[in-house]
Amino acid sequence: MSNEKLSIQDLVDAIAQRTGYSKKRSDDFLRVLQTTIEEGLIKDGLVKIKGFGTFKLVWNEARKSVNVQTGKEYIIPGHNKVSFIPEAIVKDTINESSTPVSGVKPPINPLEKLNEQAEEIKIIISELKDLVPDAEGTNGSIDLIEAPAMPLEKGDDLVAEEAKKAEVITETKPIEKKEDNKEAKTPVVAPVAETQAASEPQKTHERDLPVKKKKRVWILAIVIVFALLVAGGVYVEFQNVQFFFTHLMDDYDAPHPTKKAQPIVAKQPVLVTARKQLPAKDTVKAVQPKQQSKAVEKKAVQTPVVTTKPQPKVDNTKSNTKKVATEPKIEQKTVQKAEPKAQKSNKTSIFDKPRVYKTFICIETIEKGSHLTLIAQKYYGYKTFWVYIYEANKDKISNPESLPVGFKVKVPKLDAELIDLKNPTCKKYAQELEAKYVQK
Amino acid sequence: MNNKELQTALAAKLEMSTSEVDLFLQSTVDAMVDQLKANKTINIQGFGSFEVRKKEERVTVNPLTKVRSMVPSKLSLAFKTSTVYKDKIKDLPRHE
Repeated sequence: MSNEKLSIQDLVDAIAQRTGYSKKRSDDFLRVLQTTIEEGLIKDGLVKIKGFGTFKLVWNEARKSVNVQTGKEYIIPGHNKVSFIPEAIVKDTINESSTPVSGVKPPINPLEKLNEQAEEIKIIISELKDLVPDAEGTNGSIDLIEAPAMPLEKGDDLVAEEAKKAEVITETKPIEKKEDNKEAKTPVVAPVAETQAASEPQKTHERDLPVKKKKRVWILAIVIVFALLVAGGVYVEFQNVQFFFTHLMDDYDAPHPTKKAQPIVAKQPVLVTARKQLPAKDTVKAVQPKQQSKAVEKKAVQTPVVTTKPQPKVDNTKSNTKKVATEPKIEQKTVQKAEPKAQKSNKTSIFDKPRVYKTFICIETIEKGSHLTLIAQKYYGYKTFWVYIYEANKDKISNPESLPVGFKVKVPKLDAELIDLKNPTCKKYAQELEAKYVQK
Repeated sequence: MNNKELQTALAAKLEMSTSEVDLFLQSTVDAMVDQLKANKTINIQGFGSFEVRKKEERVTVNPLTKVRSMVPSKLSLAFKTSTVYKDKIKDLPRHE
């Protein structure tokens, strides 16, 4: 909060100006004052300066503490500390003068604030209570909780299949297809949200909220959006479940296709892109129903749920397929995201996973002038890899910089990938580790 | 050591009259408070630094009545001992 630091010199100038004495005299006075206070504190343990405050020596008892790094307990010995208590006059003058500068807010009635918060919470709760039955009736509350998890399990296959069916429909009706694509870009909830949004504002009016409380309105808006998202999710989910059952009934006679499906998937890893092109090339897809099926089966591999053979059956209403057709887009994204992540983790796994040192090449005895880096150079061909030796002997080495003569160092056998001299990331990683340990 | 003792000690060292010392002491205090008011930190080398700090507003509860009340934010004068002086007094025997 301070914007300027003043030294004794500045203070001397101010004093000289006030007293009318020379600067030298003021300087002398200030220095003597300082030493006198210091001595007085040491002698009496208390120095009082009228109109300013009191300096006091305070004794801090010895206490136990724990070294955060090593976890060892140690005792902080008892010691003296200076405490300064300003006089009330000083406190007041500082506060009254600086209030406009620091922009202290006028005190708010705390009760008012708390009441406001309580009411907001009440509204949120009632909002949630209102919305749940609106969305799905009695089983809404159950679905509400399951909603995030369900699409991953059942949703994946179902939606994929449904999407396929949607495709089949749209092959005959290309105009409707376009509409579907548009919807696919907007979030799934959007269509549902719109219908419910119409009913929402009425509720807010019924509660006759005071317009001046902007904050509350904001929170309301957030709550409504959130509730609509949940409701939309529940709605779509419910339809999925419905569809799942009807679909199961339809394909009850169909044989288990999962085993057949998997080998095909292995051959074609670029399924996601294949699906992307779907909306653009309707005719091509119509000729190649296999590719579509692969997309489905790929998901089947990820989530082992019973999938059914791709069948060009269309016995569902259009509203169903339309809604569901919007979902696969989102899934595609998630799948695509997941894949590069997995690759990354594979690459960095050597460095990320905790190293366990079980096998050792040999045991080196430290001689005079020997150092971990020299051992690392000898065995690994690069001195910075000493960090791994250190890690392997961490429990015995307190200071890696200087080891006692005669100390036996176990040289661990390291993963070839970890100490690959051709790989710059290995060296870089070792250097990072080195910086970490040396700092300690 | 109260104010009077401090004045006499200073007067003895500086070979000044106590009234002079009083004047100096008063003007020193005034000068310091003035600077602190202007939101400046005063650093006295080898001893410590004075600084004005802002205490944020907070809610307190009266333990007896359970009434919640808001304590407004305020400024307070803080003194931070320099490490040099800290080390000097650290190993002193306990007072009193």
